[in-house]
Order: sequence, then structure tokens, then C-alpha cells
Amino acid sequence: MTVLDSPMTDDVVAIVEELWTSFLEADDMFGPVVDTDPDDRSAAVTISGPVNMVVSLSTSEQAAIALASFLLQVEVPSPADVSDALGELVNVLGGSVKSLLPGPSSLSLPVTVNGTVTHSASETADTVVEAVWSGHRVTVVTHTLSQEGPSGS
Amino acid sequence: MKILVADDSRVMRQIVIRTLRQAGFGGHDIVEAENGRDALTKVRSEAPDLVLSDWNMPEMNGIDMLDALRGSGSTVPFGFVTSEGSDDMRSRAERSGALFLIAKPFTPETFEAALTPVLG
Repeated sequence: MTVLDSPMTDDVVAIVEELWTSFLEADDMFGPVVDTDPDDRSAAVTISGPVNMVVSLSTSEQAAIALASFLLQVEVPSPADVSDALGELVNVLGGSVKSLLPGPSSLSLPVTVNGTVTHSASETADTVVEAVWSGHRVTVVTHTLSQEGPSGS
Repeated sequence: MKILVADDSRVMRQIVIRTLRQAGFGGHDIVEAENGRDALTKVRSEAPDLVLSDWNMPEMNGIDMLDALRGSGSTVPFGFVTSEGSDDMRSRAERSGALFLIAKPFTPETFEAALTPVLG
């Protein structure tokens, strides 16, 4: 379910869908949500360039562990593996979002946190995509931090 | 043959190794490296037949590692597997001597197309 629409929404949905079908081997990025736990694990990357943007991903602890377990093919992933899994997923999403923005720009290394990524009032939420993986809700958000105005203005 | 997989993420190294298997390259020996500096050391000690490397890594990034390899005379076949695939990065990779750049997320088909000319 897409909960916030923007000119980028279709592209972000396509990016999430590509990640779901390739790395997460899911047929569909939507479906029933079974896991109703709060989103208490997040990861984010920053894109710096003519447009500065944060791309973040939030999900439940249970989902984060399930994702790491699936990606590493281990039953009980370590806390470091869980952070690594979320960080890599948001890193791939960020790299794809970066390709939609004007360049030159750079992508930060991912940061993972317990809790949700909060944003200041000056940041504009562009797109919020609520996807579902294996019954878990995974929310992908893009926030513009700042944007260069048209040249010569 | 031996393939060196360099990425600072253990998860991504496992995804790359899984995709190699799905693309039909499961019979090769795999060596893992955690960053560019580690990979540089292991290219020398392990003599891989192919290096698959991330671009953004702490310690030493992938492009600096490739430049260091070529600067030291190494001609090991080298490809990037990275979350960024801009035209600028592809040009930079090619200028430094990379054979290909695979953007994440990738599929076994992408690996098969890029690696078959190298591994057969």
C-alpha cells in the first residue's frame, strides 16, 4: 500500500519491487500483514548532491531477524547480522533512488538504529511505500533534506 | 577457478555467493574479503581468477583497490557489484580496467551474462 504519493512514487515502488523479487525472492511486494509489532528497527542512507535526501527503511524487530535469517540462510542471525541485513537493503534502495536524482551525487554508508528514523520539520517526506515481506510490514521512506534551486534564479 | 568476493557487508557477500550458485558458478572456490585493503592482500596471497567487488567500502574502496592492483602490475579480471551504477561510475570503472559493473539488485541472469566470458 502506498500511503504518500509524489512524482517519485512510481519509481520508488518499482525499486522496492525489484529488490523484493531479486534478493528477497518474493513474488509480490504486497499482501496480508501478520506481524503487528511496532517498527522498532530502522536503517538509512543519505544521498548528497544537487538534491540531498535520506532514504530509510523501518520494520519490526521480528521482521529484521527474519530478513537477516533469510538473506544469510542461518536460523539465528547475530545482532550484527540483523543490522547488516537492514543496512544492505537500504543501501541498495538508496543506490537505486540516487540514480533517479540529478548528479553528481554521493551515497553514504548505511546507518542502522533501534527505533525509527525521525526527521526535522525542514525535511519534506516525498514518498512512503508500505511493502510486505513474508507477512511483515516494511516501510520505505524518502525525505528531501534540501534541494538546489534553478541556476540563474 | 577461484573467485574473490569483496564487500564490507557479510549479508551482501552471501547474496553474491548465492547468486553465483544460482547462475551456475557454484563449483568455483570462493574467497571473501571485508574491504578493499583486505581484498588487495588476498589477491596477492590467494591469486584469484576473478575479483567481484563492491565500490563503497570502509578502509579502502573498490576503485582505489582496482587502481592499486593495476598500479602494481596485476591483471586479474575485475568486476564491480555495487548499489550505484551511474554512467560516470561505469566510465570510471572501465577506465581503471574493470570488465563490468553489475548494479544491485541483480539477478542470476545478470551474473551469467557478465561472468560467462570470464569463467566460461
